[in-house]
Amino acid sequence: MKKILTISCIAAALIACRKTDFTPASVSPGSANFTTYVAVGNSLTEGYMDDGLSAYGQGHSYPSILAQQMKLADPSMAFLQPMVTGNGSGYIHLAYVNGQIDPINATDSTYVNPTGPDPSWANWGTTLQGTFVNNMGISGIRLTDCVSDGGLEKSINWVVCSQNPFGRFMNFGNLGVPIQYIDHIRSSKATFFTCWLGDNDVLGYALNGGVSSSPFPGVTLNNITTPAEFAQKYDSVLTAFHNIGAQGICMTIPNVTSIPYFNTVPTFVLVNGVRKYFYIQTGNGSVRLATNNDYILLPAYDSVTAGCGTTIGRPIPNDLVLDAAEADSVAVATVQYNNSIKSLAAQFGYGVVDMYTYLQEFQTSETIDGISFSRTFIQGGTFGLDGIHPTARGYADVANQIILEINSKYGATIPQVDITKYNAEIFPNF
Amino acid sequence: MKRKITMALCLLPFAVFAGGFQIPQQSIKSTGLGGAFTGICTDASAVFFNPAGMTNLFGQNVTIGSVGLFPSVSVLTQDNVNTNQTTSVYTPIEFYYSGQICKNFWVGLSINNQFGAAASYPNTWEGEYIVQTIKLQTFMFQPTIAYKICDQLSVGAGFVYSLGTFGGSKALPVSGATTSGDTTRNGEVNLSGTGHAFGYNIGLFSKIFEHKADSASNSWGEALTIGVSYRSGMPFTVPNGTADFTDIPASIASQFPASEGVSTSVSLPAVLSAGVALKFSKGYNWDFMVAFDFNLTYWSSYDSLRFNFADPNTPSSTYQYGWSNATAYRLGVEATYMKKYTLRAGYYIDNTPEVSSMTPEVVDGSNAGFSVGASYKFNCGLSLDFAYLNSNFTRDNVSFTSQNFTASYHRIVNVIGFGVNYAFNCKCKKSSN
Repeated sequence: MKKILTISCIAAALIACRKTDFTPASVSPGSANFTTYVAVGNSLTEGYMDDGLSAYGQGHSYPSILAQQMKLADPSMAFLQPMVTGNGSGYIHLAYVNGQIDPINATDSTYVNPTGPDPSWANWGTTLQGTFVNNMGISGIRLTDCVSDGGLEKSINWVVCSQNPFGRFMNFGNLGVPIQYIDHIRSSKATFFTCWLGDNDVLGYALNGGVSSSPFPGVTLNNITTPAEFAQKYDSVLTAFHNIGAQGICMTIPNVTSIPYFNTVPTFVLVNGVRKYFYIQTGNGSVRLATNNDYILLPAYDSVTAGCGTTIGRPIPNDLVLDAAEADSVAVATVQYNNSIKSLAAQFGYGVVDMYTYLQEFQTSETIDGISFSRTFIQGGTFGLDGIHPTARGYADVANQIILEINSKYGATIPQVDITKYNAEIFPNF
Repeated sequence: MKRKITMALCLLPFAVFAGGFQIPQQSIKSTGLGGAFTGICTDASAVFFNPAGMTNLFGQNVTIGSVGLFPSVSVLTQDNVNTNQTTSVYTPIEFYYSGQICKNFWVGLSINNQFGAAASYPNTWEGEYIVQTIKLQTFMFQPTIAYKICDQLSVGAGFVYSLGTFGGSKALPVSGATTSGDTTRNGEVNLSGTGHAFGYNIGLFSKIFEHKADSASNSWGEALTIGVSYRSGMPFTVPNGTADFTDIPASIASQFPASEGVSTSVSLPAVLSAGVALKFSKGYNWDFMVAFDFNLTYWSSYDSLRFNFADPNTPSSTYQYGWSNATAYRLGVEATYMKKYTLRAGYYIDNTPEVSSMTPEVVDGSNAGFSVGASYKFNCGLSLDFAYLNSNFTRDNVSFTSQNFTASYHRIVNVIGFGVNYAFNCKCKKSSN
C-alpha cells in the first residue's frame, strides 16, 4: 500500500509538470512609426461593403483592422474613422424567397427593408468636417480627382469631390478656393500611411460598360485616366507623404475584370448542350454575338434571365457589357498603373502589396485556415453582394497581406488577424 | 436577381483515423524499456508484439494492464494567440493471454487499443474550421497461435479483427442561422461512425544461444534472443456513419440536412518490427538485459480519405495526406535482483509521419524521450509492473498546407501504466531458473 501511495505521489508530481502554453510573441513596430496612421484610397479603404457604407462595413474596413493590429505594437496610437450611424447609406442584404436567395437593394421598398438607409444618412458627414480622421478613404474617388495643378481641372475636381456624398466628412473648400484631397494629405501629419488609390481610374469605366457619363457640363466621369497622368499624380501623392516624413505601404490595382461583377452573368446559354452566345451591343454601337472575351455585367442578371440578348433585335445594351476591346483597354491601363505604383514606391522607399497578383490567385479557389475563398458571387466568401467590394472576411485578408509587408519592410512583428473571426455573407434563415 | 445557392465548401478534411493516434504503449514492461519488446517477449504481451515470442513463455500467462495518457497540447496561431487543447485523459487497456498447449504449441489472445485518442479545442479558435473535437477508439481482437520448431526458431501468427469508433466536429463557414440568436454564428458538422477491419500479425522468434548461470558457483550466464514481426494494415470501412449539421441557415439547409448518412474507408498502416535482446545473469541474484527495437510504420499507405454523403446535394470531399513512412528506434535496459525486484529504463527516437506538414487534428512530431519502469514479483505466479514515459516536442511555424493553416505546436504526453501478470500452474523452481 505504501508503495502504491509513493508511486501515486510521484505520478501526480510528474503530471503536474506538463505545461505546454506558449508565451505569445512580443509585438514590435520595428522601425515603423504608427503614431499617426493615415489611410488614403477609395471605397475599398472607406469600408464600403454590399453596395453601401454602413457602420458594420466601416468597422471592418481594412484600415480599421490594420489599426487594431498596429495598436498591439503601439497602444497609444489613435485611429478615427468618419463613422456613419447604423445602416448608413443602406446596403444590399439577402432575402430568402420561394426557395431562392435574392439580393435586395437598399432602396428596394417592395417590403420592409431592414438594410435601407439610416435617417441620419442625408446629413452625414458635414459635422465631421474639420475633424481629423485617420481613414481618409472616399468611395468613388479617383486618383485623377485628388490633385491638379490648377485651372479648369482643379474646378472639375472640386465639383466631383464636393458632390460625392461619401466624401462629405472632408472639407473641400469652395469653388473659388478649393481644398484638394492632396492638401488633406499634406496637412495630415501622417507618420505612416497606406495608399490604395487608383482603382476607380479604370473601375468606373469598366463598371459602366465602357460608357462615360457627364453629370455636369464639362465634367466627364467614367473614362480611363491616362497612364501618364496616373504616374504623375501618384508621384504627387507619394511626394506629399514623403515631404511630411511618413513611412508607408502602397497597394497595386486589382485586375478589375476578375471580380464577380464581371463574371457572374455568362456570355451564353446552353441549349441542348450547345453554347448559344448572347447578342451584345459593343462600345461603337454595333451589335454582335458575344465571345468568351466579353464581360456581361452583374446588373444585367435580371434582364438576361428575362430573355434579353437572345435575339439580334434585343441585344444586351452597351452599358451592361464590357466588350473585348473595352476590357483590353482596362487591362492595359491597369498594368501600366501598377508598373508606376511599383516603381514610384520603390523610388520613395515605400513597401508594396501587389494586390493585383494576390487577387489573381482567387480566380480559382484559395483556402485559408480551412475556409475556402473564391471570386464566385455570394458564396465565394471573398466579395460581397455588389460583386465588387470584399466581405469583412475579404477585408481581413487584405489587412493580413498589408501586415506581412509592414513586417517585412519595417522589421515589425505585428500578428495577422484570425480571418475566421470575420464573416462572409450572412445567409437568410427564413 | 433570384438564385439558387450551391455552397462549394471544402467540407470535411478530417483526419479522423489518423497518425499520431498509434499508441505504442501496449505493454507496461515494454513502456519502461522505451517501447522495445519484439526480441524480448517475457510476458503475455508477446501475443501482440511478436506472436512467435509466446514460445518464450512457460505454461499459461495472463497480462492485464492499462496506461493513462495525459496529453497537454498548446498551439500558437498566426494571430499570436495561444490555444490549449482541452484533452481528456485517454486510458487504453490491454489484455493478453498466452497458453502453452503442449511442448511446441501455444495459443494466445490479445485485446487492446492500438490506435486511439481524443482531443478538443475551444470552438472559437483559429482552427475551428479544421477541427473542434476529434475522438477515435479502436479495439483489436487477436487470436494467435505459435509453434516452436526448435530453440532457434519459433513462428507465430494471429488473425486480427478490429472495431473502430470515431467522432469529430468542426465549424462550417456558413452563417446566418438564428437558433442561437447570433446571426454571425457559423454552422457546424458532427461526424460519427463505427467501422471494422481485418488483418493479421505474424512473427519469428529465435533464441540464438543461452548459457545459464550456475547459481552455486555464482558464474555468469548469457542469452541472446531476436524477433521479427509484421502487423498488417487494417482497411477500415465505415459504411453507416452519421453527419449531423447544426446552425445551418434555412436558405441553404437543403444542402446540409440536419442528419444524413455518410460513408468512408481508410487504411490503418502496417507495422514492421525487429528486435534483439541480450541477457546476462550472475548467479541466482542478478539478471541484466539490454534490448533494442526497430519499428517501421507504413504511414504512406495512409493516403486519402473520402467522405461520401447519402444526400447528393452535400458536396463530398476527398482529403490528401501525403504522409511518410515513419521509423522508431527503441533501446531498453533492465536489472533484476533476486528474481523479484526489477528496474527498467529506456530511450526512444520516434519519428513522425507528418514530416513537412502538420494538421491540428493530429499534433505529432518527431521526438526522443526517456522511460522508466519497475516490476515486483509477489510470488512465482503474481507480479506487478509499473512504467512512466514522457514525450515532449515543439514544432515552430509548421503548415497544414492544404488548408493554409500555420501554427506552432508544443505537446507533452505523460504516460503512466500499471499492469498485473499472472502465471497459472507455474512451477516455481523451473521458472526461477
